[in-house]
Amino acid sequence: MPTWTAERVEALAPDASSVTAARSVASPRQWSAAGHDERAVWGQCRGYLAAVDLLDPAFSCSCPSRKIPCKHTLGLLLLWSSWPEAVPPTPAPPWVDEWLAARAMRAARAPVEKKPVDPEARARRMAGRAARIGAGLEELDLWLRDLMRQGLASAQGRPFSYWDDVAARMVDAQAPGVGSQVRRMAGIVRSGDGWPGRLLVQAGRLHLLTQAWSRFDDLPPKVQADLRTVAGWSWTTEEVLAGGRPVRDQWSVVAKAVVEEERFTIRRTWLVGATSARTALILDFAAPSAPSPAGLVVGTEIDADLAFFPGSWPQRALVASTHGEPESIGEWHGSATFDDALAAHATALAANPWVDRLPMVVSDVVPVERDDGWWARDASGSTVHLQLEEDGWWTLAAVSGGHPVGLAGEWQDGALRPLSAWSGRRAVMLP
Amino acid sequence: MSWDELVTSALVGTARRPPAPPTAEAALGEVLSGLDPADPEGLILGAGAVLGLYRLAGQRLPVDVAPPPAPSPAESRPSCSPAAAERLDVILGGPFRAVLGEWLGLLAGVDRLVPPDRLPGLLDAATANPRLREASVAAAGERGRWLAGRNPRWAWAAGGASSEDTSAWATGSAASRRLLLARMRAVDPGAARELLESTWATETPEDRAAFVAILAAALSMDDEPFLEAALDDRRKEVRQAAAQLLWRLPESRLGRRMAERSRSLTLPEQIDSAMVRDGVVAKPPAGLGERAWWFFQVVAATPLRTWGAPAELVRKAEPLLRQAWATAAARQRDVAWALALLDADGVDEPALLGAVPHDRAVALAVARVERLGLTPAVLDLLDHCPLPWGPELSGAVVDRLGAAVQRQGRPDAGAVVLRARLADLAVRLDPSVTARAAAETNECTGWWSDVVSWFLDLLTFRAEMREELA
Repeated sequence: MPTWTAERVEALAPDASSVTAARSVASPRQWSAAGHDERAVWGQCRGYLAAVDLLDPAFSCSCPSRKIPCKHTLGLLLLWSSWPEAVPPTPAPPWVDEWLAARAMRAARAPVEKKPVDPEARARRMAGRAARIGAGLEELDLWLRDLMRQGLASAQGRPFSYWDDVAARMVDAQAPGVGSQVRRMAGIVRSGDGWPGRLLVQAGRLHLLTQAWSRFDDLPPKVQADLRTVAGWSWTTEEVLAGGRPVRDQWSVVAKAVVEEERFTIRRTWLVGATSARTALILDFAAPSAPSPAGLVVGTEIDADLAFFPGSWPQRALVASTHGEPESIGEWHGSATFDDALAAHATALAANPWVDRLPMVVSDVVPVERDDGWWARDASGSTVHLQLEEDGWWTLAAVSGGHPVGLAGEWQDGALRPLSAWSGRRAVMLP
Repeated sequence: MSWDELVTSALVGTARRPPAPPTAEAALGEVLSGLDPADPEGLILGAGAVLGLYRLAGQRLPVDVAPPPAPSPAESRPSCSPAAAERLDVILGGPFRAVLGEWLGLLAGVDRLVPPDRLPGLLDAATANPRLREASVAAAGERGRWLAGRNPRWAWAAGGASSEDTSAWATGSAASRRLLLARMRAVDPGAARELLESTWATETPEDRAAFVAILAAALSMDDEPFLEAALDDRRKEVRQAAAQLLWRLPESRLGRRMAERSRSLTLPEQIDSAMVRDGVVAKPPAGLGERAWWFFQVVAATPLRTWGAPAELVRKAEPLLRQAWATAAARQRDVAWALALLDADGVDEPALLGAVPHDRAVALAVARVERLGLTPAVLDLLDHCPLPWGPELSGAVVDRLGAAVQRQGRPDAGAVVLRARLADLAVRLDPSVTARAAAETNECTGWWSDVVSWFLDLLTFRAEMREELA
């Protein structure tokens, strides 16, 4: 039986308000006929029937909420974690049995519908896509050269559509990753002092991509994988698992970034291995109100096998299997100084010039407010600029109190976006 | 060609200025030498990538040599449990905000602090609700004080944690000075007044009025000379604030003057400047004659011992006189008079309940609730019933509530008032009656159901909160 802590339940919540709403219904008085067995937990709350499939987390509730999971199912799990006696082990009522049976049937049917893979057809499809991306990148190179002929200064007066049209063409050419890199250029133009230099690096990187893609077949497989990743050509789970041996380690979940897009949410969860000292990125995309599939909670660590996506600097990974239950982080594995962290970044950049967002985990830094913004200073006096909102800053300042703390976040464009802080043997997520 | 020159070339464009081939030493130079000088756009893009990434990989960080700001001192008390901290998140995040004061009180009772990461939320909540500030400062500890000193929005919480630290009095914001005075008043009332007197002449009229109002806590005859002098202040608000405090001091000179004025027990013919100085307001509220209004104010500010023993007098008195005595008894916190007036009919002064000892007040409230039910007048009285209410009064209220919510038919005016004020009751009832309340209200009518369910949620929430901070 898994141990469902409040943190683990909260990690399933689609947003913060769901957690608050769930807590408000997580008291024994509000539930009747609650119980659990080894497969599921269920109960009735204000007339709504709620159940959670524990083996393959899924949620069912008769309430009209469109959020999945809704406050009742989350509240039920919270109830179970805080008042186990209110959710005793009992035989499941018929409606729970029916729901579980229907789910099992769907799961059994799914593989049958899947067509067997035809290796030739697959190779044809891949070659076709590579060619379409190649054609798109040729077009991009012409556009980059035109930008260079006219000068970066001309880019300043361009409307957003100037960038967006090219980005959209990259998406049409099945290279959505290149599309977002082009859109980033529009942001760089408006990013203040020093923008021409940053724009030139970005244009140079895209040029490097077009040059590399034109001799794709001559490149080593790892570089081919890097190119495919920048293009935004996704990998299937089978491809990743077939790529190499998973890395087993005690992985600390040190930070999580949540980016709300129009139709979905991007979650970037960063892990650090205790013995391998490797960092890993678990990336997931979900509809705005879906739960996080991996129960990875910031501040916990888990013994797990991670399968890394292919590339010269493997960073993204998926959880191949876990051993045991998550526990609270015992020790913070961070670099001693910012220079140490940046040295690791230089190695990454040398291996893969398109890496533009890297995790940064440091041990003892003091957050400092200055007239020119928010900074973090390490023991050697080196400072990095912190990119965060007012709420995040004050939480960080409160957690630190002017004393050194551990910090984990994302390093991009010469600034650190802190996502969590470690102090008093506890990790705190920053808003 | 350097990086800066390359960026300049890129800015103006190759159409106007073809770039010179970039050069560099060693391995970097070798890579650059592979670029084709006959292809200016390719040259600039290629060099941009090579030199740009080279610079990015070798980035040096600025070193800050300024002395670091002083860190926050160590705490003398531990933080509350994670469960209690999560409870605070719920309180700050939503509909149970009304129990924040109670939560802070429970926290102080177990000698715990709010964990650091919750401090911004707590300080924001208390910034919006000044009545919670004193308790929040205590709950925030050294870390909270340190943090507040860095954010002007929370300046009120940055002042001294002990009343001896009066540096904030000279330099603090208006809000933090008021908080400092209030805190000091609670510890050493005389020292607080002397601190105020030391800067009185230089304070703004708004501050003067606010400071005088703060002296209401721990008010005594020691404050009388200062308040008597404040009756001659240039600003009306300050004079009025001082008079209101003197009305509560039967031994004051103002009290003696009022006794002189009310000795004849007749309605005054006119109002004079001496009466106005003592806080009597000339213009009556709607529905009351001028002379009756003046009479009421004079009697309400007259020491009750002027009249003799209350029992007989109260029974025979006219309604206006009785009402004025009730106001006086509430102000002077005179137990004998308050009890006599609470026994009498037709006295509309719920604040009298605050003038009698706690156990008597609760017993009186129980009797009222059992005799009359939860009528609007009884609810007003309950507003003044001091906390804690205890299981007996809470049980009586819950029983009457059960009867009210099961009543069929069209809700009357009393039911409308009760429904609107149910949340107020839920924050004051003793949470031990939660189960009884759930049983009593089980059969409530549809018109009640959402409010009752909210009421029960709030009671349950408070019961859980108490367990966490026991």
